[in-house]
Amino acid sequence: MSRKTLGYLLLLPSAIIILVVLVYPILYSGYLSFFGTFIGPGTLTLTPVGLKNYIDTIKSPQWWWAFGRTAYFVLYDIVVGMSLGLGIALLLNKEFRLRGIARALVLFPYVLPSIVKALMWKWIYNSDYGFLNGLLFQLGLIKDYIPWLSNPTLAIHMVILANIWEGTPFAIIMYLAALQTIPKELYEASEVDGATPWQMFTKITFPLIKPMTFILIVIKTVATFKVFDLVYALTAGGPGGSTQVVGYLMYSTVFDSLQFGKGAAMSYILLLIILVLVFIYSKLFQSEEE
Amino acid sequence: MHNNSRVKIIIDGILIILAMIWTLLPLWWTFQTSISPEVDLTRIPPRWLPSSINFNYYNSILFKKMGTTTAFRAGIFNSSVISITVAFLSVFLGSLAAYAIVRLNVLSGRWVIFTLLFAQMIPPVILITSLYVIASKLHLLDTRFLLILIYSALQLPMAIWILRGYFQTIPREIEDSALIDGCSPSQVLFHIVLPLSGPALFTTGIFTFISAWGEFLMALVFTSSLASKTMPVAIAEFMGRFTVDYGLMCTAGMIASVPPILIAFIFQRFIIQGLTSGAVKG
Repeated sequence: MSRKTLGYLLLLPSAIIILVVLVYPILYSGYLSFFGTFIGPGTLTLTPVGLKNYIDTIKSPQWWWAFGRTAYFVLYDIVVGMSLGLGIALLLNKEFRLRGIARALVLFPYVLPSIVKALMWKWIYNSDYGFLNGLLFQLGLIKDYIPWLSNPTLAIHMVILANIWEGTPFAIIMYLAALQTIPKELYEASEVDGATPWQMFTKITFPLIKPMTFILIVIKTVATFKVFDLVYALTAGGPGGSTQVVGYLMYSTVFDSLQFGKGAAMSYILLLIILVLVFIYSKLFQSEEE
Repeated sequence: MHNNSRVKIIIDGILIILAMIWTLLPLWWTFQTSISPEVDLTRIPPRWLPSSINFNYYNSILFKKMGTTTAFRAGIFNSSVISITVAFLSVFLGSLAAYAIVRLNVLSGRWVIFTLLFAQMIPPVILITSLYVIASKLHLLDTRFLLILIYSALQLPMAIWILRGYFQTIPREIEDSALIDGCSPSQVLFHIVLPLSGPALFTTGIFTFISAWGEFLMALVFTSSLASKTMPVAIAEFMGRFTVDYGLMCTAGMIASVPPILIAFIFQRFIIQGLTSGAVKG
């Protein structure tokens, strides 16, 4: 058997699974997106509607609203979440006892099942018996208990806070990896030259972790389109649509309103956006590898 | 100068402790809820430590016959079967594919890198519409088989990615000399490359297990009965729209967290390796 034949043979099982579960459904979504769908008992009736699903989606204020909500998530994740990740990474990069344990502990929010993370925050935000109200009240910071998840403005920020908590470990690990590649001599030399810690950060650390920062921004942006579990468990898109992110809107378009065609059209629009982002990412990644 | 550095160390220490509190607080609060007596949970203001430690909730979840607790136990069982199968399948099939790409010059080239990255970054929500229609036509809804298939497909690109990176670091000379000695390429893979790749195979297994163990959206859409319902779906059912039994819910959450927490603690190094080798699960 030639090397090439063996190669294709080894690739075959993975290729089949990926083709059946990823590629074919994506193509089939393309097909569905040109149809109106009617779900009867055990049947699915398709009526061709041309570009209607796409036009409806692009014209729908709901879609753009969900997009705006998602962008708001991304903004916080990048500005607050990544700064926090960098800050903790800088701390964990120092030499101290129990550093190994500390590094294992910061992984916890990353490895826990997302639904468990959602239930933790649901309990923390509980307006009657939750941790947050109890703590703020006992510290004397609030006079009355606050219904965290029933006020639209508060609700989105509470979900964002939980999302930041969940996403920080990833930024910490990535930044730690980037920090460890910086040669110690650079810091020693600049210390001899009388540089302040702040100068060392802005002149050495920051420029050298810039590529990682770009990579994280792209990954975080893509990841935000995956936000679903938290919203499902904490607010179900409410109150008043304030936490209606793209992932949740797509789910409820298909499984609450049963508009399969429209859901498929939304998938395609989102896919296009992800494609552009991944293209940027792979450029960044390749320039890193070279 | 001496004093100055001492102050610095103290400040760093305080900041590190704050970071740990921020990271662990939700977990601690959930844990302490799970071991509190029921009366503690409806106190205003709340108790910060349980008035007495008891394991009633654990007892109920593990042994009591109730709709939600039975579903939870079935969910743990289904999740274990599914995640372990997916982990083995992804490691095995992924290493075959990665070897083909790295050493047998099949599908090499930049577009493979792009495709693997793209496949990892696709939000699963994009797939649910058409997968649902396809699965219902094939009568696969509500089966463990369907979830195993979907999770494997979602994990394989990452598995291939991690393993591909590792195989590239194995010196070619070792393989070449084996080939000259008369080994076939498949013997080289099974007797030389795979035994040398222990850490990478392990990292891949851990990652795929954790992802499959915690996956929620697909399980929510594609399972409906105890035959296939996974742990995350069963936990979501504890959070009814109007009444939530927080004690039971937190206990379920703690039990479901045991495997990933143990993994994070014991195999910390592998998780960090996997993440930094370019697994893009933010």
